[in-house]
Amino acid sequence: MKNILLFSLLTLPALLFTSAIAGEGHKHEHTHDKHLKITSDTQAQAHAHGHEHSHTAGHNDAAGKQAEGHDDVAVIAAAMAEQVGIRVAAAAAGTIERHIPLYGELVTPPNRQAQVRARFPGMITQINVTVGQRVKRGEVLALVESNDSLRTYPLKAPIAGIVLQQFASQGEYTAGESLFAITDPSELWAELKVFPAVLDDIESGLPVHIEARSGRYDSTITHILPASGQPYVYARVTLDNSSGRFAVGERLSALVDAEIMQVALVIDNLALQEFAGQAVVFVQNGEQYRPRAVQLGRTDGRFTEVLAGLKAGERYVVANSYLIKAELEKSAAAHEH
Amino acid sequence: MIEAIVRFSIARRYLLLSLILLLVAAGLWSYQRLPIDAVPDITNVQVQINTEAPGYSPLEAEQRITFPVETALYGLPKLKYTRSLSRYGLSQVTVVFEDGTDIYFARNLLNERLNAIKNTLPAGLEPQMGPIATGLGEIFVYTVSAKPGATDTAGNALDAMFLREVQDWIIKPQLAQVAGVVEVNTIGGYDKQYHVLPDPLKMLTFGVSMPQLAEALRNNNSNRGAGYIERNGQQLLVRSPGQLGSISSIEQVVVALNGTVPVRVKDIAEVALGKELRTGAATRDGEETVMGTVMMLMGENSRTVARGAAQKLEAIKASLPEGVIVEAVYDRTTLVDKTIATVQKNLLEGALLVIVVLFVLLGNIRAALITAAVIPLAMLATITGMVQQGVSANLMSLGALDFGLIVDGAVIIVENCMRRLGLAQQQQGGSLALRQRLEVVFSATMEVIKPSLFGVAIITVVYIPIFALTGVEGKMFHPMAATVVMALLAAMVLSVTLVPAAVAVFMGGKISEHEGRVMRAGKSLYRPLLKGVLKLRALVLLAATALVAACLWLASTLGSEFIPQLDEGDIALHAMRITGTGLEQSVQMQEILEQRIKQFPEVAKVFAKIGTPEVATDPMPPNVADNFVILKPRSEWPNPRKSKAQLVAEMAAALEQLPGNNYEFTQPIQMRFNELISGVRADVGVKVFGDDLDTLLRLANSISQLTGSISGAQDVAVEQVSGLPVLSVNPKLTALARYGLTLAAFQDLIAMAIGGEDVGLIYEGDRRFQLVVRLPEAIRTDIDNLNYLPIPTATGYVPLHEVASLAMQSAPAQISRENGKRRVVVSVNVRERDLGGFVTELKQRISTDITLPAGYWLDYGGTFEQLQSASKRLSIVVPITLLLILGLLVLAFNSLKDALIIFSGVPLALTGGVLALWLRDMPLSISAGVGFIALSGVAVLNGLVLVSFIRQLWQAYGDLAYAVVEGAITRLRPVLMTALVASLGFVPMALNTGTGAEVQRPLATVVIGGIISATVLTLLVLPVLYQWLHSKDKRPAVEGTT
Repeated sequence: MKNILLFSLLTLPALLFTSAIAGEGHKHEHTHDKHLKITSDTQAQAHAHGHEHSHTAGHNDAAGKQAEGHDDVAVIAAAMAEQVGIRVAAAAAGTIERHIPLYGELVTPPNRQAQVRARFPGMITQINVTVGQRVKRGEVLALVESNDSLRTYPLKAPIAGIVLQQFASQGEYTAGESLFAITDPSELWAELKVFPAVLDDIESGLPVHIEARSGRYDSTITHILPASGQPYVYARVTLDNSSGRFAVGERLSALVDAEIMQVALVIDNLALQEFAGQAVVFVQNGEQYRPRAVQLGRTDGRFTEVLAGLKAGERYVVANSYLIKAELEKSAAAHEH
Repeated sequence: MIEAIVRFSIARRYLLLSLILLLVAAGLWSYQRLPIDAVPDITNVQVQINTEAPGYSPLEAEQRITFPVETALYGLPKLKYTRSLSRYGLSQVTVVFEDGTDIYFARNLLNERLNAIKNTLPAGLEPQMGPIATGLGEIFVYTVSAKPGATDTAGNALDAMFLREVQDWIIKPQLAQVAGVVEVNTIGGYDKQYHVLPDPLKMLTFGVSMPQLAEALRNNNSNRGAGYIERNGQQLLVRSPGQLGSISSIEQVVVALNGTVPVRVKDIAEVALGKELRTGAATRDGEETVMGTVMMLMGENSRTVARGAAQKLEAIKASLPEGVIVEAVYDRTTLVDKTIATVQKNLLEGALLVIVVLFVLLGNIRAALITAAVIPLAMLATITGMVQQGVSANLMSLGALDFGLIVDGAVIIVENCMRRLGLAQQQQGGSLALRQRLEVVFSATMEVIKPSLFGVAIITVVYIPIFALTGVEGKMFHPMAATVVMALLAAMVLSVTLVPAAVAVFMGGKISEHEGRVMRAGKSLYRPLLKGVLKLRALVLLAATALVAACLWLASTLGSEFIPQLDEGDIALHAMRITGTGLEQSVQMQEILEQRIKQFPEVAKVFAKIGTPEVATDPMPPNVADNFVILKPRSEWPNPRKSKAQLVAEMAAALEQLPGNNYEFTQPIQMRFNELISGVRADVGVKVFGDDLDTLLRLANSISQLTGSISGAQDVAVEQVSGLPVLSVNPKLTALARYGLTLAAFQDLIAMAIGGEDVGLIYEGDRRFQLVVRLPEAIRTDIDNLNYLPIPTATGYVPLHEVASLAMQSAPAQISRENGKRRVVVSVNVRERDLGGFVTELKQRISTDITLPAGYWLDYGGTFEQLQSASKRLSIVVPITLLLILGLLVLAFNSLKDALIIFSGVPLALTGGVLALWLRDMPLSISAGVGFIALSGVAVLNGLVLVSFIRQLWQAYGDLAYAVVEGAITRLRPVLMTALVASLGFVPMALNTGTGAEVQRPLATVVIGGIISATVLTLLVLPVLYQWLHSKDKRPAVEGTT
């Protein structure tokens, strides 16, 4: 009997000792708010980690339900919202302006340039103009003595414009080749290339804003015409160049107002976020912010038409909407090493 | 042999005393070399291989870089495992070697392998090994900021780019030279770059393409040496300069000819200083800053290096441009100094208490001082041993040292010498002759040397189970056990050499045999008590057994923790935002976060690293920030008594108000350890290996569902892999071909236009800056108009939408691999259930319910592995240890029965420890476990002293009852003394609130409680047991003991 007692006394420390060190796996402290405190051991560290993940799992469920439009709500105190720069605006009617950028270059219209030739072969007896000189229509450019009649006849400018080139000199014989090139720079054409993908949106008569070296000019598309052998078409815009600020051959970029329309409800694009796989805006209700799935219509890059999901007058987050998304999804934010 | 040593020590006592000087010298010398840090280094032997791959998505980084690197590592000697991480622009492979592998050997091997695969990696990418540092390496952090309103020489405000330049080219090169610094890692600000920003329209006008521009810049930016010529005996070097040096020189580079007119860079592009596409940012006190982290070479002394860095930084301040402020924000020295202060305080207070106790009980100040002298000497010897063994001094290794425990052996010897000397003097009626005195000292020493040596040996042996721990626990506790064992051994050696010698030298005068008043009162109280319990022995034994049983039950109700957490005094917190959050957005959120933290009156500084620093030692995505909250000294707190846990709770509650952040509170060093050790930190992790990410995720999700249905499962989670938003520019191949474009040319163009392309370097003296071609910021970031970006073709241009389509997609944010295969982890914690049973059920359920496609397999990991292996080891090692102790006892007494009687003191001692823990509301932990270990030793020591004396008396007088009573009473003083010094030595620790107290408190609590119970029970129950068990035995033979 004594020995049994003794033996049991002796095995106790072994038991106690093992339970002190190794038995840890059987029992855990598990306070759920533990991740808020300095975790007192790596074990609890793991719990804290896991805890976040459990939110993640829960969040996925919530995301599923979110399609039905409840459950997800971020509560942000007004002062805090102010501090972090969350701004809201009321949804309202607005304008959608859809612009399409095009590139092209300036060309001279065919009716604004002329090649002047001598009607009858003969000797150029006199030249009245020099290159660069501005001429009026009908102004005598040169005198040619015809070989046939030996009479001298005047060569007149067919259009008003500038003498661009001169191909012959006094005393030369001419037999019908071009003697002068006159061009009228007071009006130019901008030929903008329209590639097939945007062809449907471009038509003649649309307002266009030309961006040139010398500034921005507003005009309209005069007409659309195919470019032979090219995959694109030209949108032609007539530009007044009486001031001479454009140069032929200059490259331009242009913005076409493809669509400008009044729509019943627009939202600022800054407000748009993707949440649970849908496009949403965050609707403010006091200090509560809820994601609202919206069906979107046309957009111009700054504003987007809302077809469904939002009513006029509802207050939605414009600036820093990402913070709301971050707040709603934050439980999923974990740092994996 | 021991006899010879003692005899020699007494005979050559002066020589021995002078040897102390040697010991002191060695100790002091070693102290200079002792690596001191706050906590033990628990990092495994690992090398990070980082490959920066600008523009690579996680998938590409994995496919092109991670995979070849991993494959190259197969079959490395001493390789434990590899794991990898593929993120945007970064591939990081972490190679873990077996513990004990020489890091330089490992790096050499890796170097060789990496060289071999250089050709298989995409051009321009170079894998680099991380710095040779451990988790303790980040010892010093400083920020570079500008004084408000400060301007540079040109009158511009000092911006983040300027500060970064100061950091990169003035501060870093100097700091990197401090001895022991392996790396200065920069984060924050912007690398200065020269940007060439072409206007697409102007390029069209002049018919120049971006590749042409890049090519022109590449070809017009070099100096060339052309040998030398001799002229009139003089050597002339010939060179042709052409290096670009300034914005205006870049502008002059000719790109092409338009007719005969050269097209220069300035005709088509703007040239300006620009910002890099950075991967990380730094903030401090709510403002962006530039931050440098000084990393210490593995094995260096952190205090020395941190101090060196701090001094260097002071010196550097003189060379900084006007208006730039450099300030240290984190300095490991503070923590280390605090730790040392704690240890010093404990040492001093413990020693003082020991001296007081000895003085009160011995009534002799010299004896008290001799005993106390063992404390510093043992300490110095321990330090020498630590340096020799490469054990670093830290809270764990020094925290468990109890000087009361260490001097126990010496106490017993001194006490007996005192008693015998006093007795002899009384018999002689005066002072003793030298010879006689020496003889008395010798015999008195020999009388108790056996129990005392055995006692210390046993205390040493009980530390053996700690050496059986492996992994992180092993790294935490091995230094502790090693230090304690060394201290005990040192004390043991001192107590057989120095102590008798000192007693012989210094105890020449009159020694009052009269014990102090305290002892007399104690004895007069003890005698009737002992006689009483001897009569009621059945009751006493029953009560003792009941007490042990009750305490066992109590122990099972205590909470438990595996590893104690050292309080570093500062707070670190991860602030996590959703995947895909941009860096600038993160910085914005971070600034608000810091402003809020700064409002706490306890906070001195707060700073954060967001994203990945220059050297990717901790590759975080931009949505994660490591925050460091440096607290003021407690005396400056509004309420200095507020606990840190409470502060953290308050902080957590306050930060919860901020939208969009998730937090994880930890501590700076701990955070770093977690980052490096990584592994699965939940109880159980099911790792799914395979190829296809979607399949992996599907499997992981079904496993997670299954796991959730098993009872005991909690916090089931699947590793997050997806959620990185990607804008795909999907090329239309036929369209590309129709316009005469090749895919590669198109992709190059997109990469160059949006990401930019390095086309060379601009040198400014030592400083070098990248020359980058990319589109102007306004065009680059305008996604809506990206569709219309003109792509030059042979005949003109075509808008991007003709040849490619844009799509927003979600891509994997990160791909984790382990041992060369993709991996997704399902982690789960287990509550209120036996972990082993849970894992068995989980494995069984998974094998029946989940069918894995070919090429997919599972692996189980998590802390349960460590727990299981620790349990397994301990279940073998603990019984062996107990047997060993028993064996030692049997050896001491030649009697199993006596050994068992002494041994019974152990459970009795443990009861007090358990009760003390329960009273102080502390969980069972390894710290407490170590306390129990020490306790067992003390209990055995007491029992040994008592039993050996009772036995001697029994032998001498043949009367068991007399021997038991007289023996117990004679030994009351040493038993009380050892108990008191051991427990009082721990009192400062038990009450300490300073840095490191959380490790020491449970240990000290257990020892104090246990020793009280052990002493009471040794004095009462042990005699009862002895008498009962020996009641039928004959008087022991004389040769059985000395």
